[in-house]
Formats: sequence, structure tokens, C-alpha cells
Amino acid sequence: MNLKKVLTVYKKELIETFRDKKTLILAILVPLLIYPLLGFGASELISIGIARVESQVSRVGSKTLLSDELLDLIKEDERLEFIEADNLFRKLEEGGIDAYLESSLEEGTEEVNIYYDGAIERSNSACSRLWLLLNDYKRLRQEDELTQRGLDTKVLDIVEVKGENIASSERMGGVFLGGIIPLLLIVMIAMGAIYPAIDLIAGEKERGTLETILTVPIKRSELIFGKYLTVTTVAILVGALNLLSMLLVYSLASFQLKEVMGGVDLVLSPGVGILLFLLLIPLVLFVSAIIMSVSLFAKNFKDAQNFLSPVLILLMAPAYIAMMPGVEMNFILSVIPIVNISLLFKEIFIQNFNIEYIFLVFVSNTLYSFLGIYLFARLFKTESILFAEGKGYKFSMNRKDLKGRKFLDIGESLLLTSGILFLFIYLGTLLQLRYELF
Amino acid sequence: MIRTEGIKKVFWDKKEGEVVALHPTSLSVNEGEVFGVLGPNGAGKTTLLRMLATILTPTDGSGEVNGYDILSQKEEVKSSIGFLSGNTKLYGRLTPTEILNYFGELYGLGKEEIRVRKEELITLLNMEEFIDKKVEKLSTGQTQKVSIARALLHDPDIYMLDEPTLGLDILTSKSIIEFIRGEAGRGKTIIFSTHYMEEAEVLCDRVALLHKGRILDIDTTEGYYNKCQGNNLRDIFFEYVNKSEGDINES
Ligand SMILES: Nc1ncnc2c1ncn2[C@@H]1O[C@H](COP(=O)(O)OP(=O)(O)O)[C@@H](O)[C@H]1O
Ligand SMILES: [Mg+2]
Repeated sequence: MNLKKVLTVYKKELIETFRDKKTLILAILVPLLIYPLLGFGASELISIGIARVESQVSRVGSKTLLSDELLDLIKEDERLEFIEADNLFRKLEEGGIDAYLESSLEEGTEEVNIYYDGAIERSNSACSRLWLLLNDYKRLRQEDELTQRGLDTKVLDIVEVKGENIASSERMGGVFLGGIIPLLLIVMIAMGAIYPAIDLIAGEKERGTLETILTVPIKRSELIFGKYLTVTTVAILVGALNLLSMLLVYSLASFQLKEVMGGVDLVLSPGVGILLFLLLIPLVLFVSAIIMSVSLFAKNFKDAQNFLSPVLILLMAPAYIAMMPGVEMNFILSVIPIVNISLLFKEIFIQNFNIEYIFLVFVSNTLYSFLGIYLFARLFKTESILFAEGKGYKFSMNRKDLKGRKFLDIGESLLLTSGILFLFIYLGTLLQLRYELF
Repeated sequence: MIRTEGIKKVFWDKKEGEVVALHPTSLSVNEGEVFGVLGPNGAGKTTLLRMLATILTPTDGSGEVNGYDILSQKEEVKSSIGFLSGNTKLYGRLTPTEILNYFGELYGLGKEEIRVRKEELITLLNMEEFIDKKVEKLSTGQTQKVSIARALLHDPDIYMLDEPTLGLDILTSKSIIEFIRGEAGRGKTIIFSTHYMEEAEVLCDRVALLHKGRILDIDTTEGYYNKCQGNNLRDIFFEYVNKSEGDINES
């Protein structure tokens, strides 16, 4: 292979790609806009939601006479409004009040019941406010009682219960981000590869320039590597832009979120950004090779789009698996393509990762990308795929067509290979998760 | 310059099964000769030329172009020929200058060589006016000129032209025919396919009649007139077709 020719092709394809406005918009502009929109949209919604619940006054009803002290406490609390009414149950159901109290004296014990509607956020919030308030009330009453009897109120402090959330605020942010970001990145990178791949492969067939390029003394391997480099360059650029955009948006948004969510910090430091970027490279190489192989079978843009939509879904689904709570990295999952990178990203976000897994993911994805490139190079040498006349390439599986020729042609072997890959990804992951077989 | 021995091409088609696009064919084209391949649509002209240009691999048989083997020395063959067909389109988003630079580099020419040859072709084909416009903005005639420049950039000794006038208006066709005639005058070896009998008649030293993937005969125009009744190539072609179909029915 002559490197100079590969670079000649690469240079020319890059120029052509960047002259295509559609590719530019879809591969670069959209991802750059999506994060600010998504990020600010989401944080805006969350903060609006939280702020609304926080600022709302809970309307508390009661018909039985409450003690003066309790009434005073309620009236002192600015976030509670006392409403005296009948038919409290009905009112609560209709949303006229958020909770109501009933109090009764039984064998010297003052029993106070909080009635609330657990399905309604406002009512839940009223309940927890009342709960705290009633605790204070109980303490007040107990202290009064003890003082009257001339006893020390210290006995009340004999047991103290406290809860502590051990997740650092970074990790809380990580859980929030870790699930969604791998998925988004994979989709964006796939899109970043799909548009130039269609343009460089199916487009070359559709516009009739394929034969032109085959008339010059260039090896097919030189040609495809030039094209492959172009597609990966665009996809890597898209990946980097996505990461950068994410980094900026989330570090800005985290200030906002921190205020309203109480110390949820989102980590995406430059160091993490660089680590994620390095991990993305073998992923891009693998995804690009798959996408380019598939687009070889297309005769034109429309074919290519039809063929690539299922591929996009196939690439997304493993990232969904990794999003599921409770799915954690282990040896098997770390060598299953897509699942591995998604899980690793998730773990990096909750700052709970393991260097060995980073290594395993990187190495296995690099191997997959070599396999992908090999497959693509084989396919590109196949005349019947390059010069398929008439309709686009079809896989035939009925017996009539299969008779009288080699059992598997290159297309069917590709189908078989992808079937095996599919089984490997899904069944492997499923068995691993369900039964921990390995 | 060009020689084939029993080259054959079989395609696999989903509906038809095996399609023999070209039955075993042997022919030779001499240096400096203009050789025509005449046949209707689907005769196998493109398939034959593609195999000679090493774009397609023959199912069977062997061949040589400029002394290079079409099976094992594809790059050398490609460097020796200028190939042009209705299917060799250009990159619309590039300008003629960029296209010529690109193909020059792929043919392995140096920067200076490319510059000189480019100047020559721009003058010869009268392309100054649109040399820096994007190809997608050019007219059919202008585009065809760029295509010719692209195919001849490396100044090959052999031209393979597959229906070079297909889809062009009469004026452009005429100027292309003139151009081919001029190049033949400079001693180039030209193999040229067409389904226009008249073009073959005015241009070619020898003509192969191709029908349904079989060569019916190869001769000079005069040779055909001497041994046939018809007084133009069109009639002569039909004489051969009738005769060959009779042969096939007999056997
Ligand atoms: N890639 C291909 N796959 C299947 N059949 C083909 C292919 N290319 C050409 N053919 C068939 O081979 C025959 C000869 O085609 P072609 O060489 O293009 O003829 P011509 O150029 O003389 O019109 C036709 O019947 C055509 O349908
Ligand atoms: Mg043809």
C-alpha cells in the first residue's frame, strides 16, 4: 500500500466532505446545539419544578380542635397555611387542601394523624413538613412535661438517629449523567460516521464516480483506507465536539443544579474529558468500519439510509442495556462491544472505575475495530457488491435461489457474521446479567 | 498493443441465473490502430472494455494490454491506458483544477508534470473559462471536456473509449469524433465502442461486430464491403445477425 496515495485520497475526500453543507450541519452543528438545548432545558425544568414545590405553601386543614401550642406552631410556619373546614377527606381528594390533621386523646396519649395523598407531590411535601413540625411539637410537649415533674430533659437525647448519604455530590451527578451520556455519544458518533460514509460510498455509486476512480492505478486498499480515514476523522471530530460541548454545558449547568438540588456536582473535568476522548477512538474506528461495510451494499442514498437505520438501533440498544440500574462492569461485559464502553463511561462518571477495565475495554475495542476494517476491506474487493446492477444488493434465503451456486456468498457470510455478533452482544449480556453464567 | 485470448465474463443475476455477458473472445489491436467495437445495447461492449481496463476480472481467459497482464498487472495496465465511458463521472463538488490535480497525483505524476500537462490540455480542449468553477455547475459539453482531460492527463498511449458520444448533442458528438480522429493521427492506439454504425464507419481502421456477447467478425470497413451485400455497416451488421441466429437455430 502506497501511503502517499492514501493521503491523496484522504485530502480530496475531506475537501469534498466539508463542502457538503448537509454533512456539516448534521454532523457538527446539530450536536453542538443539542447539548446546550438539552442541558439548559433539563436543568431549567428541574429547577423550576423544585423551586415550585419548595415555594408552595402547604394548606393544612383540621376540624377537631388542635391544642393551642400546635396551632401556634402551624401559624408561625410561613410554609403552612391553616384552613378550618368540614369534609376534609373530600377536600383532600379534590385538592382543596394538601393534608389534614386529626387529633384525639387516648389513655393520656395525644394521637395526631396526618392524612395526605401519597400520589401527589404537593401533598407529600405537606406531609413531610407536618412531620417535622409535629416532631418539634412532640419535643416541646415532652420537655414541658419533664420540667413540670422536675426531671432533666437530657433523657430525651438518649438515642439520636441520623442519616448520612455517603455518595459524594460528584457521584450523585455522575449517576445522573452516566446513564444518558454514553447513549448520546454513541448516537452522535454513529451519525457523524453515517453521513460521510453514505456520501463517500453509496454516493460514489449513485453519482457514477466509482468507475472513474477504478480506472486509475490505485489499489482498492489505498482507496478504502483514504475513505476510511476521512469517515473516522469526521466521526472523531464529532465525538470531540460532543465531549467539549457537553463539558461546557454541564459545567455551566451544574452551578444551577447545585443550587436547587442541594450540592449535586457534575464532574467533567478536562482530565476526564481527555480520558473519555481516548476511549472513544477505538469505538469510532469500530463503528465506522461497520457503517462503511453496510453502506457498501447500498446502490444509492436511499438504500443506504434504509440499511443504516437498523444498524443505528443495533448500536444504541447495548448502550440502553448499560443504562439499566444495577448493571455493573465485569470481565465478560468489558469485552462485549458497545456495552463495554457504555458501562465504562457510566463508571467513570460515578468515579468508581478500575484501570484494568479501562485497559480491557480499550484493547478489545481496538481488536474489534481491526476486525471491522478487515471485513470492510474484504467486501470492497468483491466485484458483485461494487458493480451490482439494477436493484440494490439483496440477501436471498429461499431455496430456489440458493440452488446451483456456492452455498454462501459474501453478503450472506456478512449476514451470518453480524448475526453472530448480535447474539454475542445480546445473549451474552443477557445470560451474564440474568444467571451470572460466566 | 492489446491482445485477448478467450476472455469471458459471466454475471450472476437473481432472476436469470447465470448471464454470459461475453462469450470467450479473442482479439488483438495493433499499435496506432483505431479499433471499433460495434454492437447494440446489451451486446457486451462495456463488459469487454472494463475487462481490458482491469476494472472487471474475467471469469475465464487471459489478455495483455501494452505488454502487461490484465489479471496480474492491473496497476501497470491502468497506467498505460486512458479510460472513458458514460459511467466515468466526475466529482461535482470539486473544480476541474482540483480534479486534474487529484488524478495527476493518483497517476503518480510529479507536481511540475501535472502543471505542464494541465496547461496543455486546458489549451487543447479550450477549458480556461470554467477551470475553477465547480463541476456541478458546468454544462454537459464542458463536463465531457473535463472528463477527457482527466482520462488523458498522464498522456497514455492507449485510449479506451466506451460510447464516448452517448447522450451528447450532435455538435458535441462531432467535436469528440474530431478529437479522436486527431489523436489517432498522433499515433495513439484507440479501442472505441459505439452503437452508432456511422461513427464506427468514419473512424475505425477495423471493426468488431459484437452481438449478444459474441464477436461475429472482425474486419476493415473495406473488407466488410467486399464480402457482404450491404453497402453500409448497418445493413452488414443485420446480415451477420441473421446468419448467426440461423447458425444457432441449426445447431
Ligand atoms: N454487473 C452486472 N451484473 C449482472 N449482469 C450484468 C452486469 N453488467 C452487465 N450485465 C449484463 O451483461 C450484458 C452485457 O452488458 P454490457 O456489457 O453493459 O453491454 P453494452 O455495454 O454493450 O450495452 C447485459 O445483458 C447486461 O445486463
Ligand atoms: Mg455499455
